[in-house]
Amino acid sequence: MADAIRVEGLTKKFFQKGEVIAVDRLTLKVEEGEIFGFLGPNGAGKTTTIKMLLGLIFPDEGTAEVLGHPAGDIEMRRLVSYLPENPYFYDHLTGGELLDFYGRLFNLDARVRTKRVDELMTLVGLRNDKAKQLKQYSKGMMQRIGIAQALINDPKVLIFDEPTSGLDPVAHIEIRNLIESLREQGKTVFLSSHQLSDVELVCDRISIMNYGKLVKMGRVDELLAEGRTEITAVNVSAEAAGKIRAIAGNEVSENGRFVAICPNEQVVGDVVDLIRGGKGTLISVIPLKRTLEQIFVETIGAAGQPGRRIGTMNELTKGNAK
Amino acid sequence: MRTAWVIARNTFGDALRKRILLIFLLLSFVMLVLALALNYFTAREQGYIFKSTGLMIVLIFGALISITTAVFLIPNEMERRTIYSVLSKPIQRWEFFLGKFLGGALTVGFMVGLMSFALMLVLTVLAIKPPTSSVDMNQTQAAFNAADWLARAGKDILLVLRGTLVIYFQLVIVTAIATTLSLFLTPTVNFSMTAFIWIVGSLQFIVAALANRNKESFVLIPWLAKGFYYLLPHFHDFNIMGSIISPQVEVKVNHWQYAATVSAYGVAYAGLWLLVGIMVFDRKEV
Repeated sequence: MADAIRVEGLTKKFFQKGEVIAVDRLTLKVEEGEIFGFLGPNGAGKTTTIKMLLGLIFPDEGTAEVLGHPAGDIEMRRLVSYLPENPYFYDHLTGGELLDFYGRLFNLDARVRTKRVDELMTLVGLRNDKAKQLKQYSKGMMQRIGIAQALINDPKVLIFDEPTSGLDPVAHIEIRNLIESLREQGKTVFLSSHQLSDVELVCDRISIMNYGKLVKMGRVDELLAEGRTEITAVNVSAEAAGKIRAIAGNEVSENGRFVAICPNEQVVGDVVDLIRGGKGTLISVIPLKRTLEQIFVETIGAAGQPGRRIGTMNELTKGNAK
Repeated sequence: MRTAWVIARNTFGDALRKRILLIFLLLSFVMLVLALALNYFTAREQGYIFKSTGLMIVLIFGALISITTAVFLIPNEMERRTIYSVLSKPIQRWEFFLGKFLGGALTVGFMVGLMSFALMLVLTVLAIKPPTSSVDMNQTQAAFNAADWLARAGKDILLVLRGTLVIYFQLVIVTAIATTLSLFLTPTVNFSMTAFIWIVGSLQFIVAALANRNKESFVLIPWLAKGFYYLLPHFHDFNIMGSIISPQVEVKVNHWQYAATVSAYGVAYAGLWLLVGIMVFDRKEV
């Protein structure tokens, strides 16, 4: 599959009371048709990277290409769309006028614009608010109109920065479904989000950035697969249980059920053989999964975020006591 | 260019909502009314004072409106982050910059147009009564002559139109300067800087005199004055008040040709500032 986004050695430095490396030699590829999660704590360099991809700011080193065009190139911007974080639009316009304005920037003719505006307003659930001025829109409605403007040009690559921020749960699910439907249409989505549950559900691959550096990247299913397997059985003999304890090293008995946690696939096979050999009955073999939240916390914890940890109320109380 | 026009139209719509511009517009109307009152208490020929004061009001409030509009054109886009969703579309940066300037110039044109229209309206009403100094008792007591009235009003309207044209192109320069400076300066500093340039530009005859003085105790002043003279716009050339206040003075100049010449100078000078702005904005990180 061809690369939709290709970034090599991308570096961005800012000078604010000394040099700050916002993005440090970032290299990644996003394949066409995939939903790619771009994760990281606040200040990790995600938005800076997105801005470099769109040509809003310029890299100090490295290159970036989108659909074979240099980042920021005008031809590239015809094929790409962007939803900024906490979008703010011209609030003197109505929802319909705003989409028409963006349609004009793509040089769409009047007939196509009118049709497209109606379709998109319906798609994002704002059909009845088309004639309403944006200053009367709620935060969630602004997010919806932001998504609509990002679709005005029927883009091949969509760059979304926190698309579900500020949405109520129902709208949240609707937008998530919309993002998934974009994959079905063969579009590539570059999704920067703190909503890890969304990312886990919709993304094919993810990358995690911290302090401007890429610290983890991979397929979501592979990252989530922990490697451990839970085996449940009944009627396991004491002899078999002893042997299993020796190789799995982690077994419990619950309500007459024997549960073993196997550290790898080799042990799974041995444990299954022991259960069967001891006339036991195998109930289930379940590969254990972690959540993306666990992976994220582990990754960022390992990379370190000194001075940014939020403490607990207990720590505060202890501190006061001292 | 088509895209620049799309940006310009949007900027115009956005700028018209600004309350401060409407306040300036209202204040200019109030000042016109006050000038009208002053007109009745002056010994000079009625109308001349009002015409010159009226155009001066249009110029001063026009300058305030153009500076206030232009200093926020691009900083507001960056602060509100609307610039991200626009510059990520297939639009060249020069089109955006030019579009913002054109939107500002359109706003200034609209506001100056409204002020001038009010001035023309008042002058049309004033023209019902013939000028006092050039009138004898017979004329005063003569019956109302619509043709005379229209002729007098038409003359005044043409004069205001000529004055407005010259004022507008002066303000086009001011808008271009403020828009370009907004790429480097905060709105407050930019407001002061552009106002300074406008004032110095309007006093270029004094600057020229300072530049030519060799016996100046402080040697830097003539050099500084020379720098201002060659770099800053010559707004004093846009001053056509003399021909209004002293219409009896014969001048061998075609007033409309002169207005067209200074307007062309305004476009060219504004173009230079815009060129600098476009070059800077092309590499500006947003």
